[in-house]
Amino acid sequence: MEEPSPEPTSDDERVIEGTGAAPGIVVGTAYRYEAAAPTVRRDSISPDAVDAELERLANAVQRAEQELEADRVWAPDALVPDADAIFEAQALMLRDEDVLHAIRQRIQDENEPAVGAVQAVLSAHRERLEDSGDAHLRTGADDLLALERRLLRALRRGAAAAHIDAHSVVVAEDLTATDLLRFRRQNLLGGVTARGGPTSHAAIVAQALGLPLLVGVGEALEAVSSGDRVIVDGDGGRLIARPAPSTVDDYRQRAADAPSPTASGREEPSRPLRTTDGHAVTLRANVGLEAELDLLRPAPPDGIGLLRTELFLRADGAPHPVDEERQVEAYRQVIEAAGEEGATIRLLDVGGDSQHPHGTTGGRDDNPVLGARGLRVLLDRPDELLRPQLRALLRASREGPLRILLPMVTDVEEVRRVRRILDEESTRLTESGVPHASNVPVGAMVEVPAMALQAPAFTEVVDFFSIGTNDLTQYVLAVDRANDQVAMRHDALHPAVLGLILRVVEAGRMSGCPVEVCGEIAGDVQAVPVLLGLGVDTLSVAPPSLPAVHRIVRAIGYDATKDLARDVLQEDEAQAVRRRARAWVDTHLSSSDTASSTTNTPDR
Amino acid sequence: MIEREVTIRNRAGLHTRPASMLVKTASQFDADVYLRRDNYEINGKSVIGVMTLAAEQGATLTLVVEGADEAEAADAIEALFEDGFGEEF
Repeated sequence: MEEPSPEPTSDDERVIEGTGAAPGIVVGTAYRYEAAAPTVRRDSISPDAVDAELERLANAVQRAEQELEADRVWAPDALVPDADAIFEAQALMLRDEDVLHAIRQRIQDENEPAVGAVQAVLSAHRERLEDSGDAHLRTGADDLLALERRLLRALRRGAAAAHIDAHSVVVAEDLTATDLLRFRRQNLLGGVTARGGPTSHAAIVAQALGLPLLVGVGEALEAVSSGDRVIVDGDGGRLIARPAPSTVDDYRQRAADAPSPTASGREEPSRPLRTTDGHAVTLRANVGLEAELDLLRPAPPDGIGLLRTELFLRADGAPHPVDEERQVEAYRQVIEAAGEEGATIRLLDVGGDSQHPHGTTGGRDDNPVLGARGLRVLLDRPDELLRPQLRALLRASREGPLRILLPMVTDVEEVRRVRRILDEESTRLTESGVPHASNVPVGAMVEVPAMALQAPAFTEVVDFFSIGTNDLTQYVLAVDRANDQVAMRHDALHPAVLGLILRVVEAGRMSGCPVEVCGEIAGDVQAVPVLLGLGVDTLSVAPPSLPAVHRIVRAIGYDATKDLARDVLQEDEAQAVRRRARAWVDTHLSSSDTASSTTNTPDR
Repeated sequence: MIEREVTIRNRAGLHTRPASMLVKTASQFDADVYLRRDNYEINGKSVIGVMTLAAEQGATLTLVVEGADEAEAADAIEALFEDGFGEEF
């Protein structure tokens, strides 16, 4: 825990409740970050500042081009008809010398700030198109608006990034996963957002990076100014603005008492992990970023249960994540870091909420989570995405045990198709004399309710199931976890979700097909006994949650969890399940010293 | 200098995709390329300019090409219009 120079005024302290989306406690200096304000201040700049402003524009254009390239990679054709053509046009627009010249002219001749000049020039062009009587041509206005937003964002980003220092806590309306990654490079301490839910993409990234993150703290925007000292309590879901010195001491003590997630991850955990009555539980790590591999030294005892390849391949801003050679290298590192128990690597899961890494909220795909995403995209573009990734995985498979996991599966036939393609690629590699493992296990994510309902049929085509409770819950409860108006309804402990988990577990047990849970719920101490009681005996959690889950499993009796599971399945709503689970955990852990304050338990 | 009349044949008109095709083609040549609709003239190498012609199906534009390789450039660009930019008529 780091902190800036002390000078707090005590009577100013304010405690604001929110939702902890990533655990941990930090004291830092608030930085108010505005991703893209819709209105433009049209102040003029001083004549001396013209050169700097032109430079800022040039940098922004360059950043926008890089962003566009990254977006192009992450929005495959299948998501938007004609996607390649759209991106190509956007790239041409960004390089339109006539328009850039006009923008520069306004900065030079009228001393207009770059932001205002961009808006003035592009909106004039846009208006011409909006006036057109032809509907096809009017769509060009949308393209120009997208360009304008991209440029404005790039301009603001540059300004924002300059102010972040190593003690900063970013306070923003909303943060995207890429915002967090970028700030993390500048040693950001933590984040607070007014919007967003605890299972958003940003939350996953924050957990992965070990950054405390609070979401749904609407009041923070008015209560906190840049430069204020703040405490982010990701465990208790609280933001303390301008804390009194005694409050700071208090939190500093709590943070010191709590084992730091990274430090306790290095303890040598006993293996096999068993409940008090001897039931063995497998505990694996979820990995989504290259940086997280460092948290896994020594290797996790039970290996990596979920490697998300989308952020992993993108973490260093690599423009072409589907480049096969790069993938082979990355997978080798992962399999090596995973140790003896090996790694489960999920195929690219593009689409859904990770489709817009830069936080655009365009109306073009109103329902991305119900659209082309996951395996649907891969099967639509086998030559570009699926085959290179399968080849790379096969080539890396000699490094150690590897399992392949398919995202967003709906139908049995989809799995069959992937298996056929995998066989073809394996045969080709053999023919070319490239050594690789044969019979790499292939599993399916259980996210789509249809798949959970048909689990028995899937046992014939998959080697294992991995239940992605975040998405499964989203689909079962019809709750968009990124929508802060309904995000609080998103709780995987809903009896309907638990019922589906039980169904999959039973299908697996009938056919000897292993079932594991890799969603956030697996790292939630209140949920762990429920999952064990339902018959799940393999959990895969974010590295910071490993110690807490390890502790709780060792502290509870397996037989007792069966009773808990039976009871909660009788409940009719998530809150009731949570109340029961919390009471159960309190009762069963009262004698042990499992510190619930250090665990990832978003309080809903 | 070459001046030719070209007509938009494809149904969707000179929207974003055809505009970028046109600009990509024009940019392959050294010659300057201009398109004129009534009194509004734009640089044929500026995609946003081309888009703002807002040229719908049936619209007629004047193509002006000037430079060493103007003949090849004019032919290549005219061919795009003839072909309706590969889109439906």
